[in-house]
Amino acid sequence: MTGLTPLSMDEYLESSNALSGNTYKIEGTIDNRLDSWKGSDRLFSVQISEAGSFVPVLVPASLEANIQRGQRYVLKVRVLETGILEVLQLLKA
Amino acid sequence: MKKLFFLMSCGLLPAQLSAQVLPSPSAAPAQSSPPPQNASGGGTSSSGGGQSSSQGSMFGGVLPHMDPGSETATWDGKIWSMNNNRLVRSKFEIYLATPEANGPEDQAYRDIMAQIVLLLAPTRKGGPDVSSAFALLPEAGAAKIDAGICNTIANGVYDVWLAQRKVTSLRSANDAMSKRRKQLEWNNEVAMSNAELAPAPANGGKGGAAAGNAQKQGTAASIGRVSGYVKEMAEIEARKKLNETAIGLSEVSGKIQFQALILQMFMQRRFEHALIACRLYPHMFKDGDSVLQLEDSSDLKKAFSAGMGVPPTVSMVDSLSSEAIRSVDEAVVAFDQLVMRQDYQSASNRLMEAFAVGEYLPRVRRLPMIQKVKVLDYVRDGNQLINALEMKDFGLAEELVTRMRKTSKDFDFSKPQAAIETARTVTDMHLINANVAMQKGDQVGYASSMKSATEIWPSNPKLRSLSEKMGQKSDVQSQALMELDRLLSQRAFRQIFDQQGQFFAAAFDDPARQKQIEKVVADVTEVTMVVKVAEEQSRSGNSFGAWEAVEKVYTRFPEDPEVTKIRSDLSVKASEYVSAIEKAKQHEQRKQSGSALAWYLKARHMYPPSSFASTGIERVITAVKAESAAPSSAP
Repeated sequence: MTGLTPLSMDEYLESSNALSGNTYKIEGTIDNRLDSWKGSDRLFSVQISEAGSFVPVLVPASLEANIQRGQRYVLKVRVLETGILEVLQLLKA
Repeated sequence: MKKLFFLMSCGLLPAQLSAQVLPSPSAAPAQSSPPPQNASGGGTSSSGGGQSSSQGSMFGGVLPHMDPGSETATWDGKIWSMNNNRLVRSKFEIYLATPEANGPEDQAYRDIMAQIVLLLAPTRKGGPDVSSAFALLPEAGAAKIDAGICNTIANGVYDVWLAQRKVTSLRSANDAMSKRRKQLEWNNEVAMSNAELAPAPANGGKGGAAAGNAQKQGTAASIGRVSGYVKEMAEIEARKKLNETAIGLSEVSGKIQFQALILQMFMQRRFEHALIACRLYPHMFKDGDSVLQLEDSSDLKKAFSAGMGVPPTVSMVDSLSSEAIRSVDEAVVAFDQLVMRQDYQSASNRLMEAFAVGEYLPRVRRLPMIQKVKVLDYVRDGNQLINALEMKDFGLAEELVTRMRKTSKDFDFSKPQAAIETARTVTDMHLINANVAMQKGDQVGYASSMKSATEIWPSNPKLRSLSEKMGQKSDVQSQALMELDRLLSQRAFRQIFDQQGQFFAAAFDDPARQKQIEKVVADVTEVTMVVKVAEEQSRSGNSFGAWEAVEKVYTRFPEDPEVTKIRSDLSVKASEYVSAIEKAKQHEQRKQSGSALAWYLKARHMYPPSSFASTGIERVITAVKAESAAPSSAP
């Protein structure tokens, strides 16, 4: 995941749609399952920082990864049109 | 007693032509206002009704009959109240307020009238002096009080004298005609006897025939003269008959006219003039016949015949006139005594009776003003009391009754007092009902009770005060309802809540408004509880939760000042959380789903029980799902 730009939380919080189509790297802890997405896609909230910034991430079914709550991951994400972050790749940190 | 009844009935008839007619002869003599009221008349007896019917029948009902017991007069099937009569009351009041007639002109008149009566008195030394009395009549007739009646008497006397002169002339003519008739009879007899004494004609020869012819001619001439005499005698007889008839008619008509004058003056209560005329009568009609020439079919003749059993005479009128004068004198004496005792009720009654009969008599006209004014105020109060009771002004009636009780010792206040108390009691009952209806809001019942109370006593002061109270109440009520409507339109529910008692009272008869007030009270109560809980939460450190609770209430009642105030305070205390929620909402509205979710998640992290954050997250996810499902379902 080198070469990836870390996601700026300020920008994301300011306007997530403006970042749509971009690919970023985020590192955070799986906070909670938000809802089951379409098909077997899963939506989680990931805490980015201790200050309480959270981002919604969508784990597609194709990744076939076990997502554990409280586990810290490094994620390669792409910003969807809706502003939700789609996980392209993840590594346990 | 019978004479007195007749006197007063006849005397009062002319004055009562426009009298107040009472309902029914068969009923008790009722006044114009219930119960029977006659303050100045002092009606203390109701037993006169029975007596009036029996005594009225004594005269056959053809003459007005007065019943002292009930103080009514019955005539021609109708009953008049003698005292409760506007015309009588007003005339009597005028009399009381008029100074006594004792001026020089009046004194001169009285002197002349007294002199005339003395000149005509049968006991006068040397006998009555008719000429001197007649000579004084024009002088008396010039006085105002006399109204020219003495002149009328003088004219009546003169007419009789003229008629008598005519009669004398007619008698003289008849005497002359009688003499002439006798002469004609003699002539007739002579003519007849000459015809018998003519010599008989000789038998045969020329001389006998000529003599026969001459005899025949002489007889024819005698027969012609006789027939002329007979014809003239017949004419004389016819003329004498005519003259005798004229004499008879003249005598009778003169007598009737003068008798009519006497009766007229008597009926007009001019008793002094009636006396003078009665005493002139025998000097004008010296045949000694003083029976009043009334038609056999006349009611007056029947009345006298039925009531007294004798035909009416001039002497009877003379004595009735004297009796009237005497009774008036006695009544005035009684009046003076009663005034001294302060029995003004009885005094006014006696004086009214004296006035009714002897209005023109000197004893009445010369009664000192100082005596009359003592009863004037009392009589006026009595008249006013009658009017007040007629008009149902019982307040005024009560004042008058109190005053009259203080003024007169013998004022019978029982009847008016009973009427007043009855009216007061019944009216109070209706007013109580009206008050109760007003309290209950029963408009129909209130109006009905007030109407009943007004019909009984229109000027009752309690009526006015209750009406004003109702008006004020209505005014207050209408103002309160207007205020309620205004506050509802402005959604000033807190103010409605604070004045709920007043508004509930005003809307007691308006179920719709009552429901509105109840809802407002329930909502404000709920809001107040939420505010209290939020304040408690805030004090205990849970500003986020307090803010959430207040925020939910604020969406429903943004105008509530309490809510606005605490929301403002909590927005400061929970500013970070509030900011996160607000930003999340803003991003949600702009379809910045990622940002919105991020903020909601942040808010939930600050306050995990946050319902705003939870519901926000769900809404955003649902929206995103729907958006992503739409393209996939498109063909």
